[in-house]
Order: sequence, then C-alpha cells, then structure tokens
Amino acid sequence: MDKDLRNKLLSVLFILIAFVVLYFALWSNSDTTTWVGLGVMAIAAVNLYINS
Amino acid sequence: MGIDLSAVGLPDLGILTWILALLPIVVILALMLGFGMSGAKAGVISWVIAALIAAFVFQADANVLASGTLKGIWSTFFVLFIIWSSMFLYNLVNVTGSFEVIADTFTELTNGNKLLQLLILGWVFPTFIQGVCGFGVPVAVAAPLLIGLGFDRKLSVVTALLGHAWGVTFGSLGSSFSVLLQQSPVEEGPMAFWAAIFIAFGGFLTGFAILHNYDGMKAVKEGAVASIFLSIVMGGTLILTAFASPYVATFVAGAVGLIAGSFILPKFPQYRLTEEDQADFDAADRVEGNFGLAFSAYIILIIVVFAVYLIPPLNDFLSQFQIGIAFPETSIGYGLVNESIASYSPLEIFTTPGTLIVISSILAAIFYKMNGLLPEGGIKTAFQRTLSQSIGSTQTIIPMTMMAVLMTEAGLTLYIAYGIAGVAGGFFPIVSPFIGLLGGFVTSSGTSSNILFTALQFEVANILDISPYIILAMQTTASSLSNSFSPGNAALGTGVSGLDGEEGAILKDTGKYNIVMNLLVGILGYILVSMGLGF
Repeated sequence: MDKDLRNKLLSVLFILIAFVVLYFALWSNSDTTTWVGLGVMAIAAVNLYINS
Repeated sequence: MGIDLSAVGLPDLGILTWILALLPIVVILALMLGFGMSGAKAGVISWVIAALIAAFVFQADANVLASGTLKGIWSTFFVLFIIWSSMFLYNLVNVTGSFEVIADTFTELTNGNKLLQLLILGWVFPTFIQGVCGFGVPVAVAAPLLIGLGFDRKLSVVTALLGHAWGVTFGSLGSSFSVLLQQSPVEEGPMAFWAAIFIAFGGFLTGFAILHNYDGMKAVKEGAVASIFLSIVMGGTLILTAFASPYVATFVAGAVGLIAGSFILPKFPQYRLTEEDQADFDAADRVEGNFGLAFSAYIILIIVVFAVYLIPPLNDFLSQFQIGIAFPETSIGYGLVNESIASYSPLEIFTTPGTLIVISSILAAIFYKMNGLLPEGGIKTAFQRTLSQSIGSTQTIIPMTMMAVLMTEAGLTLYIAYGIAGVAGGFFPIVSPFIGLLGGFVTSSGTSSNILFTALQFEVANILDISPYIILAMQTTASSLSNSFSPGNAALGTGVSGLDGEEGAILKDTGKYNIVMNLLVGILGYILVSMGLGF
C-alpha cells in the first residue's frame, strides 16, 4: 500500500474515532465536553482535508 | 408570502440571513466549479462554514452542532457499505475476465449491427453494471468496449456517460435512493413509485439522446423502434421492480434489457444485417469463454437479493436485527426543536444491500474458484483495487453529508426552502430538476446531489403544498441524469479512452442533452403537479 493511499485511509479512520469521541461527549450533558468533542472532529476533518 | 417564521422557530425572513443560510452550498459550488477543488476539501470547508453560520446566525448551541455532524456521519455508513461492497463485487468479476466474455457474447447476439451495439453496449450494458456498481465503473467498462468495436472515442465516452446515468438512483443497489429516504420523511413505497415513473421517462429520453448524438436525426429515425422498445422493456421493468424492491430496480431493468436487446431486438426486420456487414462481423475476433460461468456472480446476486427481499418470513426474521444510535433533543436559540430519537436511521444488518453484496461476493468467489476462473491472488487484487477506487468517494461523501445534515439540524435548509418558496411559487416544479442537475454537476455524484438537496426540495414542496413525492422524484431523476454532465465523470471517461484534455468537449455534448432532458422532466412534473397528483 502506497503512502498516499495509507494516509487517505487513516484520515477516514480518524473521522470514525472522532465520531465515537463526539458521540460520548454529546451525551455527557456538559457543554464544555461537547465543545471538546467538536474540536476533535474539526481536527479529524482538517486531517481529511490535508490527505484528500 | 407572509410567512411567520417565528412560529416554526426560525429567524425572520430576510435577504441577508437567507444569503448566509445558503452560503455553505454557494461555497461548495464555488470551490469545486471556480477553483477546481476536490469534493472532500470543499466538503470540509463548507462543513466549517455551516457550523459557524449555524452558531452565530441561527443560535445553534454545541449540542445542535454535534448532533447534526454525528447524524451526518451515521447516515454515510449505509451508503459507504454499498459503495465498498459493490466495488469489490465488480473487481472480483473483473479479475476473472468475465466482463469481456459478457460483452462479446452480447455483441455476437446483435449480428454486429452498429446501431444496436451502440444501444446495447452503450446504454443497456452500462445500465446493468450501474445496477450493482456505480461510481464511474459503467463508463470505465463500456467506453473501452465501444472503442474496441470501432466507434469513435469521443462518441463512445459520451454514449457511455449518457447511457448509464438514468440508472443511478436505483443503481448500486439503491445507495442514491436510500439517501433520498434518509434525508426526508417520505414513505418508501410511494417514493419508489414516483421516482421510478420519472426515471423511466429519463431513460426514454436517454435512448433518443444517444441516437441523436450518434448521427443526428438520421440515427433517431433508424433507431426509434429499438429505442422505444428498450425504453418500454427497461422502464417498465424498473417501475414494476420498484414496487417489490427499489434497491434492485436498475439491476433487474438492465438484466431484462440485456436479454430483450440481445435475443428479441435483433430479430426485428429493420435490424437484420446486410451481407457486407455480416462478412465483417464474421471476420472479427472473438473472446473465448463460457457466458454462463462469466455471468454467474450476477445470477448469484439476483438469487440472494430476491430471496431476502421477496420471501416475507425470511425478510421479517432478518429485518429484526438492527443497529441504530440514540440522539437527545436539541434546539436552536430561535426555538426550532429536533426531537429526541431512540434509534436514528437504523441499519438492518442482514438485509441491507451491502450485506447482500458481500454474501454474493463470497459465494461468487467460491463458484469462480471451483470452476478455475479465479486467478491466484485474485481476491487480494480485487480488494486492493476496491481500496484505491473507493477511498476518494468515501472522503468526499463524509464531509458533504456532515455539512448537509448539520444545515438541516440547525434550520438552515428549512430557512432556504422558505425563501425559494416565496420566490418560485407555482413554477417551482420546472426549477426543481435544475437544482438536482446543479448538485450532480458539482459533486459528480447523484448520491451526493441527493445528500445536498433532498431536504431542501422536500421543504419547498411542503411550503408550496405540492407533492413532495413528485418534487423528490424530479430531484433524484435530475441528479441521476447529471452523472453524464459532471467534470469528474467526464475526466473518468477521457482517462479510460485516451482522450485526455477533451473533458470540455465531452461536457459540451452531454450538457446540451442534460438541459433538454431536465427541462422535459420539469414540464412533466409541472403537468402532474397541476393535476394534483402525487399525494
């Protein structure tokens, strides 16, 4: 597997990890935690942007 | 229109707020069209813009932003499962060399008649492939086959682009259609019926577009009988199948079209060969192979899909295994509420199309292996090709869906819809297909077009009190047809046919047919809406 393809796959994997983090943050009943979860998702999205 | 938006929990209707609500879509169009940016990059930027506008203009809190984003990603799982599994099945069949055998067999059955070859290999065959695997594969397979049969390269690409597009909605085992259902609260049965009606009409127009592109009115005149015959066979099959299982409607329509086009159509008196053509045909090279074996993967798929969808006790038993995730109630500052839900968009594990394709792929691989068709390392090759072919569309679909669902969750889509309803009024049915066409042009995907605009079209239809089924049927028909008029698919066509750099010329050809076809679709919709149908 070449580096480009591996990075693309990892970028999708990071989105899935951020999905899990944000989901639990949403149910935490804490605005601060939810904002942190959104921050993690934003980082994953930026990573997807870079590796697309 | 005197709409009181405070009653639905949205800001008062104003031009600046409306422009801001539309901004994520405008940005995604501008980035892709004006700057040639990839769908994935444009999707990420637009998701960020949608989140900022939701927070600062529509007073969405962190829960709304999180909920909209999460629902968007969850919605993609169903679609991505179909994409990956259908691409794997296609690659599995491809590594066995079966596509060449299938295409050669159908060529022989048409007596070498050029016009029939063009219609069968450039329209019916891509439709069949689209039934199980879209995302450019029908064009990648059909265009080289047409070139190999002696057709002009550009003509081959344009024909394959036009030919496969009408089948997109119910193609890839219904991934595009499933988006339509996930993004709006319409019922599956009526939606499938109206979508099938409009798509069959789109197919009817496609046949004539291919003929006209081949040789103007001369070809239209010579091929009219064949085109009408194939339209009735495929369109009729599509509508009937949509009643039972819309997820296989294109697949079944393509399969029946291949049989009718190969075994019945060549027997029509006007399509028999002249002696000179017969001699050329007999002298042509043939691909060795057993058609039954080559076609076996799709026969297995038909059996599996039909068994699961059409045997009620089996379907009932398997449908009870579902995965869905819960979401809490959220609301924006203006009052718009998204109610809590115990199981959002549940995935039926054993009846979802992706699972059926995986099961069929395993059975097909075993069958090919038993008959010596599967080469050493064939499965690994198919998997590697699937990986590299599917990852790009995966990266595109995820952020686009995040943006689209977030816009809906925060009320942006609803707000845009109220604005359009106030301006277009009764003429909206004629405008509606061009919204779908725009989405398809920008994203090079009927599925992505539906992701972008399904909620918008649904809301406008509701506001104008016209049938959402007819409006959404036009949306999905236009987004399907637009697959022939998108830079991404045009580039794919030029790539597989040695026409690099001629994307503009191809888009010019497919563009003029798209404008005419979508206008006719809009007029049909306007007439049906005026008659009060679709409720």
